[in-house]
Amino acid sequence: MKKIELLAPAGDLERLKVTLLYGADAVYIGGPKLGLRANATNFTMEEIKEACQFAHAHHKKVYVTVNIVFHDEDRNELQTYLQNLVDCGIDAVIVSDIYVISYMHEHFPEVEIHLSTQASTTNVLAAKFYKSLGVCRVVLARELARADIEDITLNSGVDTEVFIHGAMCTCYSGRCALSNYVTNRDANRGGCAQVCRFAFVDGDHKFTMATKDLNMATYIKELIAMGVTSLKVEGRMRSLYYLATVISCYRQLIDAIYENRLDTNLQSYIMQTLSKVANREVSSQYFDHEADETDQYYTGRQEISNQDYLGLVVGYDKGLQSLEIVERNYFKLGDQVEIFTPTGEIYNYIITKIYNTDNQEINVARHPEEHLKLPFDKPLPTYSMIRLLRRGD
Amino acid sequence: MQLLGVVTDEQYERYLAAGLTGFLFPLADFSCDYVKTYTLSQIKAFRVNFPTAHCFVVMNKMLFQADLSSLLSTLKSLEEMNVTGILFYDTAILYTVKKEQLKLPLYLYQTHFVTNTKTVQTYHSLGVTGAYISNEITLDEIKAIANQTNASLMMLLVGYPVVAMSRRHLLTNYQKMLGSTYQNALTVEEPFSKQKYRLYESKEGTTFRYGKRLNNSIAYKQLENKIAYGILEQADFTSEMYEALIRAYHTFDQKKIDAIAGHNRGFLYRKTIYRVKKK
Repeated sequence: MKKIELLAPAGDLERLKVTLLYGADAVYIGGPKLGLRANATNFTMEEIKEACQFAHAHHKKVYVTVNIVFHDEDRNELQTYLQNLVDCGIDAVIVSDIYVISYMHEHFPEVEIHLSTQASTTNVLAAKFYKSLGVCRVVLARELARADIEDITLNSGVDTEVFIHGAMCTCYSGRCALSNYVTNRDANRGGCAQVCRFAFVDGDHKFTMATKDLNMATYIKELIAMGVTSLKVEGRMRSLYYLATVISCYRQLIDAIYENRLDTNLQSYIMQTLSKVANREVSSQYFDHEADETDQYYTGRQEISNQDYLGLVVGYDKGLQSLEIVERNYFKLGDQVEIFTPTGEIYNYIITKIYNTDNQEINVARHPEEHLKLPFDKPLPTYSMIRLLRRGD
Repeated sequence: MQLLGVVTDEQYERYLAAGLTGFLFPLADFSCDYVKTYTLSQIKAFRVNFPTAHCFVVMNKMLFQADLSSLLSTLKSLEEMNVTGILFYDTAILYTVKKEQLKLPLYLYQTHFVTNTKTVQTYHSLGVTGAYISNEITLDEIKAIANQTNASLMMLLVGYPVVAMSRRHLLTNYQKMLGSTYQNALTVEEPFSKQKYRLYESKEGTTFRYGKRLNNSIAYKQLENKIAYGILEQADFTSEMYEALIRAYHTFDQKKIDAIAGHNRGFLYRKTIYRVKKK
């Protein structure tokens, strides 16, 4: 049986490399145009080429979003743009527009076509319709319950991709123009201003409709058993640390399920670790119940700032036998931390010494982006990360 | 451009006499975004009583597994009634009509997705008769589509545009949290833009409509021969006002139309942006 794919988001080349190193099987990215994150950094064509080379060298895949809802003016460059993407070596395009599907199928049959969640596919017949046009994978709507996902997966003849983690929209993807009306920014062309997280006014009351985030860690085993092809993590604009943590957790979870060694301790560790990077509360949303008042916020934004991420490992000083790190958040002597690596090892560690760039000992690291060193008896891979377990006295 | 109505008071004869050539009927259990829906037997009764009037059936909800069991029989019933057309959102309907070779003219009604010529043309090449143009594009963009397609086009002339649709029961949830008595309609204001939005629920979820009525009379005048059908939604008009609006459109008395329906031209002259300039 083919192992389920873990699909990660990446907002730039560094995040792409990190997610792949931390265990993603494939990444989805936005190119310089025609994707639904028009205001994100996104990738240049040169970077897409490099991304494909890096991914393929690691036997992994790159999917590129071309999923805006087109206006006539957006068409001018479409054909050249698609040709350039194909020339970069991408493995699939993620699209929502039926014309782009037809064009890709006719001109680039060797490239997989994935139907974006923007098309909000909710049933097996719709999936069959898109299959008849050449789509080989459908990114399912986030509003689906267990039975819907299972029916489409078993009976449509197309691969299914299911969102398992990250932010949720309040409305159906593609069926929302709140941003157009409130801010004049076109939601379906990448300009979404996340108006569903704004507070509206209802007389003397505040009306909000923001949703909690999605976390499907409890249901991964079920999705694997159904035959779902790919598990998708949301968040092309998320940080390196967030992505490394989330991808690493799901990698561990999936591997443990396939190796039949998932126990309550590991499940509980993964849930705890995921909660450390969450900046909102989470729920399984529609999968196992009709989304209700417990899946939303009603008193405005309630987001938690997270400062557990202390540093990124960038090298090793053999003379000093120390990890070279870049500080991300405040830490000090006595703090108990955990160092986790892209290869899955985790080291518990108490900070007993901190060296600055002049190799002088300091007691406190209080300047994010500062290069520091921490004694450690062996090198660790680049992109290993340090997170706080508990503060020292 | 022929005028079609979406009515709340079922005074079909009166409105046909005033200048409408037919109606849109949101089908119960298969539509969303509309407060008033119709059963198959109500639509059948209309077909019997008004055989020469256009009868378009709106089936614009997202379909889930549970909806599919009655889809084919519903479509067959509508085929037997010889309805003028089906306005669909979910491509499961297109798939079923093609697979079963049903004689049902289909109109693409993917609310915010009908924004360019190629999409309309591609659906047209797949056997879709026409498309309901999105409310969020400019007059020039509408003209460009109209000039380049043979598909039969529809557009909203007067009504409160649908802004968003959620599967969530946002009013139920909100009022439960507030501890207030449930009311299925709520007008909320976005405090910075001061814009109002009308929300209401059905079993399909919650629909957001823009709080200010759209009046595309300018487009009507300029696209009279390019767009097949213009939609006039009754919404909160009284029967008298609605009839007057139809008559004003029918004879194209723009002053009167604007006096009744207001001056909100929506996005006709307002192009949306999507890249925010970096400071």
